[in-house]
Amino acid sequence: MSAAPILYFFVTIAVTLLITAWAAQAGSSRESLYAASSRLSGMQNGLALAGDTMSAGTILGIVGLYLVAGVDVAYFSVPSMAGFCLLLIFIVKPLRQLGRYTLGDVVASRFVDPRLRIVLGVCVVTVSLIYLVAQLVGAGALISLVFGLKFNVAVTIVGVLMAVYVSFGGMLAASWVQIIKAVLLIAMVGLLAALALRMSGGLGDLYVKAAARLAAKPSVFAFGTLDLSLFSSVSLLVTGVLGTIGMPHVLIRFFTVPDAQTAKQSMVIATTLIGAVMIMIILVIGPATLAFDSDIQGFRDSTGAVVGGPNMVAMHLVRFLGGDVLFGTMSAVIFATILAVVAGLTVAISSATSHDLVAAIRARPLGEKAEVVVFRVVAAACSAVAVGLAIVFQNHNLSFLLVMASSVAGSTTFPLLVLAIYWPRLTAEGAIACGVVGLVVSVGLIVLGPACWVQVLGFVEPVFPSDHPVLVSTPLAFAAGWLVSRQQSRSTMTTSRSAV
Amino acid sequence: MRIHRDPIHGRQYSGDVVMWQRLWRVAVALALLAQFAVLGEAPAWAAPAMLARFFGVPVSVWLVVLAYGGLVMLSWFCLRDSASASPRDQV
Repeated sequence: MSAAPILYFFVTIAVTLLITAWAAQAGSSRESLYAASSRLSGMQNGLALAGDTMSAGTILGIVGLYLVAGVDVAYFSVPSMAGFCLLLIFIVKPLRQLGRYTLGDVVASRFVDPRLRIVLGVCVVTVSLIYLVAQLVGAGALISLVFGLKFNVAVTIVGVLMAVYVSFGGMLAASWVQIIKAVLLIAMVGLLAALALRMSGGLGDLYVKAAARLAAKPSVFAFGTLDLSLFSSVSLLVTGVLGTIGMPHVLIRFFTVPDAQTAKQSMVIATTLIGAVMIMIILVIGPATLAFDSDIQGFRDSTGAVVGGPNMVAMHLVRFLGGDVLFGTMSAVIFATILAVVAGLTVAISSATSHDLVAAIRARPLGEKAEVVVFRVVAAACSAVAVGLAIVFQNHNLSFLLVMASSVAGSTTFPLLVLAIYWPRLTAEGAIACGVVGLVVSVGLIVLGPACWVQVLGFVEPVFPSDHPVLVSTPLAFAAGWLVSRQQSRSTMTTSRSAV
Repeated sequence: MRIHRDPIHGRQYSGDVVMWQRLWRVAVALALLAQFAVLGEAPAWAAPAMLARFFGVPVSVWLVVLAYGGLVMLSWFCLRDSASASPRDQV
């Protein structure tokens, strides 16, 4: 273990804590904690949005998967971009115009029913907590490998830091950590692509070299390496698209800018940055892992497996192309990436709890000071719970949790927002039915699917055949919303006629 | 004729303009889907095949790159597009 990663590790912690101290000094009002006082520019929010989407798992996972699946990684990466475009076209503008701090505000602009705030709050907390635990388990494993720390220590450090960022700095600190990390990540990916091209002698030569290494194997430069069935590929694509549209920690970012047009600008900037990074990965960095496979010392063990697992492929390539200094810098960027993403998720959970759940359960809003206190307490409690769950489940394969988060988001927040914004006949009861059915069906089917029922719970056959239930749960959520609203409208009309 | 108003800039668009904007988006989306549909057997005139010959990069990789490029372009088209206004903004 060289000194460079350790040094950069402490530099990252120091810089992010300084940002938090500045954010805490800049303001500790409800506006600042929930929405960075809605003062971020389009470029700043665009960078933060890009950072939210490009998590450590996404970047390292896609490079690692390229080694096995080749261009089939498009199944995992392109749908989220398509989801961003749909978000931009249909959701961003009305969302920003109707909401102020949380997604609950958007539906509250139409319905005053506190039960609806509770349902949406539960959906947001469920999605974000599942995603947070999955991120923490991945983060703990990654930090253990890169910095040589024990899993429990690594996860606890991340948990304590995220509680400090969110409790004291709120959305402002989370946004600036995310912005700085996004700039560093984009610069690092660009530098890595340039170094790979320089070492191979150009783009064409890189592919010639990669093709020579692949001579004896089936080519990964053709679609179909993953051999997915039609149902699986369609489910995967739909989950990627709808999950991106419904992710609460992404949606609440649009409340950090002053108006709807700036929100749209930030979305376009984010899409451009994500597109540029993904193009560099798929066009240059992915093929570079194939081309330099046998040149990298310590890349594979005696069994032929990648040392440290598939997520470490990119890190091996970084060390090979840029030496220990670049490896240390990349490690720090990955650490900052983990911190920024978990902080964003914690903000989503804390704001939904203090602004939606607590106020709705009390049946009247909290005062601003009390709401700020609840926000901070929830941030600390949520960090502790997430760390505890990550430690308990550290040895389980939690890939199904990431799918579960996307599926639950695509089956709850997505249909609720679409109906609340675009369907004038939606009733409060219809919206509640939509959220409850989406939540119960999506979680239930994932538990009954192969990844949880067979791999985690140990049963022989799954009850539900797919790991991606959105093709079933999302239409059911829409149908429940439509059916209950229609029934209620009819009974209201009958009552009115009887009264007349 | 139905008039759509952009509440940010105060511009007004006729229903025809909005329809053309929507058709343009659909055309871009269909072009992207067509690129994927041809997969590795792109005809010689198709952009990925030409790029593949020129740079020595497989057609499938260019298809993914073009998908990303197309989605980024699509997002830029949508930035100033009145059709993405919510139903409540439409007059």
